[in-house]
Amino acid sequence: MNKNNFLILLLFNCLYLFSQGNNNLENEGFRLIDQGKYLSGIKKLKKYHTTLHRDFKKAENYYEIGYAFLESRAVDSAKIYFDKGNKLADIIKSDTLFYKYHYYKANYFFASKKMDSAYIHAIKASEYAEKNNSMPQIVNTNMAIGRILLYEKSYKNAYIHLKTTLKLATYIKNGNKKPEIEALNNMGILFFEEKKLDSSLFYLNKAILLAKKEKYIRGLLVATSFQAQIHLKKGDIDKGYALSLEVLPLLNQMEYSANLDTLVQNTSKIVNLSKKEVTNDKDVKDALNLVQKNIKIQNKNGNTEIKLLQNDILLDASKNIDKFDTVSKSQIKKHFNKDARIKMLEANSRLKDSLQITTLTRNIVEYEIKYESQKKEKENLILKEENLQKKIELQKERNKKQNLIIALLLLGFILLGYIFYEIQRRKKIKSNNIYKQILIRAEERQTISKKLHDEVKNELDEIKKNPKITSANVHKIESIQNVIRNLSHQLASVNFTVLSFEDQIINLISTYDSDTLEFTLENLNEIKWKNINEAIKRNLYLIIRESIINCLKYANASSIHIQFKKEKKSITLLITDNGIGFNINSDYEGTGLRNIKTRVKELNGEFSINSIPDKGTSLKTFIILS
Amino acid sequence: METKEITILLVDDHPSILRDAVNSLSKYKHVKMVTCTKCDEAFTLIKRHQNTKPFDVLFTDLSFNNNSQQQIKSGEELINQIKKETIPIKIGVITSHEEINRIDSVLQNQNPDAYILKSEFFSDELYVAITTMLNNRIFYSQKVHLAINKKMRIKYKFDKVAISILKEFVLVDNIQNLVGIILKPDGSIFKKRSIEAKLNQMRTDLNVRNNTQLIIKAIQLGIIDSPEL
Repeated sequence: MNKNNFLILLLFNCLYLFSQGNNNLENEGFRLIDQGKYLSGIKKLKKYHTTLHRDFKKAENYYEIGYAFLESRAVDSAKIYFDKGNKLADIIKSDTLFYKYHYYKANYFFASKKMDSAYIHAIKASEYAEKNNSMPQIVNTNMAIGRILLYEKSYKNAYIHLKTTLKLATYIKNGNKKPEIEALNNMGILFFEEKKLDSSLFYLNKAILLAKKEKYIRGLLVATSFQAQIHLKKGDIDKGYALSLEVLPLLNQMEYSANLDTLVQNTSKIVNLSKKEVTNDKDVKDALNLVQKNIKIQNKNGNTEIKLLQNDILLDASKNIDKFDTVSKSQIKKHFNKDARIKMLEANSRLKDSLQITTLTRNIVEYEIKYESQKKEKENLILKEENLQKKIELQKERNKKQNLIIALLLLGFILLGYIFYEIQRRKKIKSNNIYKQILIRAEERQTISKKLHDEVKNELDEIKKNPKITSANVHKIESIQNVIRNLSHQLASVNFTVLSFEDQIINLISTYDSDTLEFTLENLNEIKWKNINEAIKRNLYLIIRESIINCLKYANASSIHIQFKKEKKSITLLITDNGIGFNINSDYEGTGLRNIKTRVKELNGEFSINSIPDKGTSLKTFIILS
Repeated sequence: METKEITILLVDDHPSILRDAVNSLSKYKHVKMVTCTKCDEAFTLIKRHQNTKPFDVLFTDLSFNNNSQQQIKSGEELINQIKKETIPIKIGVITSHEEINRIDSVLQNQNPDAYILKSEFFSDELYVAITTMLNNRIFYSQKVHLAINKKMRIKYKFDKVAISILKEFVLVDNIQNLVGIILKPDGSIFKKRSIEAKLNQMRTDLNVRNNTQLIIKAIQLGIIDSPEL
């Protein structure tokens, strides 16, 4: 096989190139697309589209068609369908469609090697995926980000994303193993790029097993290509070659767009050349041409990475020339003379520099994005803290209010209790008072009946004995009239609703005022009687009347002085006469005086009597206003 | 000369009083008398005649013993009802209530055009009362007059402010000049408006029309002494 080694080397490089170019992001798709029959798949999808009515489904369908085009390397057609989907997504405004919008945009930009845009869209897609809380979406976006980072040679970050993707992919329900295979492949590629070949081999083996089981040809293709590459790097050319031959039929099964088909055909031709027993210069020349053609096709994008890759492959090939003691050494040397190699190396360093610059710029952008997001996170944290503070304050206020309400309730209860107690107390007092009043009334009735009996009945009896109109009898009748009038006054209930207290006091005085009994009155008008309790007024009135009657009956006075005194919370009534007075130490106490005393006591007042024989009597009543 | 016919409604629960009244007025041919014994009936009669041939004068008692099933239970209530509906009729009270409190209350609250005491009742008094009332003046029995006057004398005798206003008013001709002279018990000055209110109250109480009459009445009643001129 040694003579063919160079051709095999070219084949490896071609395959590597192929698998690199085949580096698109994945999503769930249809069986045909999974098997790499993109064009047939697209046909079916387009047919399916005509049966759709809902805009949402139509939009999804557009995205799927676009994705299939993208997979078949027809980027422009893909863009047309993505744009159709985007238009509908703008109208419908569904989070699922927004996810797809960003996810496919990321895919599109990735395919066009515009990594900055691809990264931004992948991040946005991941936001929507989390919003939608869909595991496949989260896995896909994670994988997309991981791939972008891998492409950018940010291996550490890529590893984190891909590892997460791998973990999450196993959680996807309904047995879709495609994401898992993709994740395993990407892990393999990652370690391959990092030159950790054993780890890479481990993941790729896993991917191959699973892809074979799931009949996922695209996954199998990528995994096998890289395995072949690893074996080559390890120096196990035979094993690598065998694997490469396995890849080829798989490649033929795929339906790529025209350009890629040529790529595949060229690769097949190299394989065929390598299978020849005898290799001549022409074969080597042909193979080299085929590789360069393939490189050109891949190179259409014209981006730095591909150019670099191309140079790397050719340099690799030239390096290995010495290893292989082939007939065509001289021929190959023609293609890789010293000047050509130096030119290539120069170009390589230039390309690497520019790549580094772009990577640096990208890193800066990435850091900026990171910084911005961290800043936002910080702001959010501060806002959250502020909210928490506010909540705590609100809670405090609420607690305060609650405490206040509880305090008020307690106060209310106490007040209610007090009111209840007070009502009971007043009831008791009232009943006591009523009892006292009943006693007083009973006593008054007794007095009246006694008076009627003693004074009226006796007089009437005497008139009966001598029923003639004599002056004595007229006098008796007049006295009976007086007794009856006084009694009727005493019995009449006193109230101040129709006639004011002042008027009634004046009327009382004017009833008894005469030539022989002169009244003086002080400060009656200085008190606002309207505001004073009815019971107090009634008792003051009765006291005045009682003392006037007493005066007339017993005191033989010629003047009565009535004086009111109003303090802030009390009223004093002073009644003085210039009558004969009496000995206050004597036991004598008329019913009138006794009644007065009881009445004043009822009002929580004080009553005092002072009398000097031959000088007069004074009554003092002191009542506290409640 | 033909005198205008006068229709009178008399309501009293004592038939003897009704009889006496009818008798006392029988000699005046132009006076037509209608009597009834219950307040409700009286009110219905007044209302019924109001639009056809309204009564000129109503005489009513104050206390009715037959009031247990009546809507209107007393003379006071009857008067209140008539005043409430502003029926144009002269109202006189004929009653045996000569207690000053009752008289005072009725004069203050019901303000009738006449207050006649049964004890003072004599035949011509009723006719005099009717003509006085129809001339828009007030008629009280002699005893009522005396009682009211006595009350007013007592009332104002002890009213230091009233007395000082009356005394000073004799000497000045203008209320404005009283401001600053009349003092409250606590020594502060009475404003013009308060003095006018007090004078107004006295004019009403003493039943006079102007301040000159008020001074004369006050002197008559002995509230103030006659000024030394």
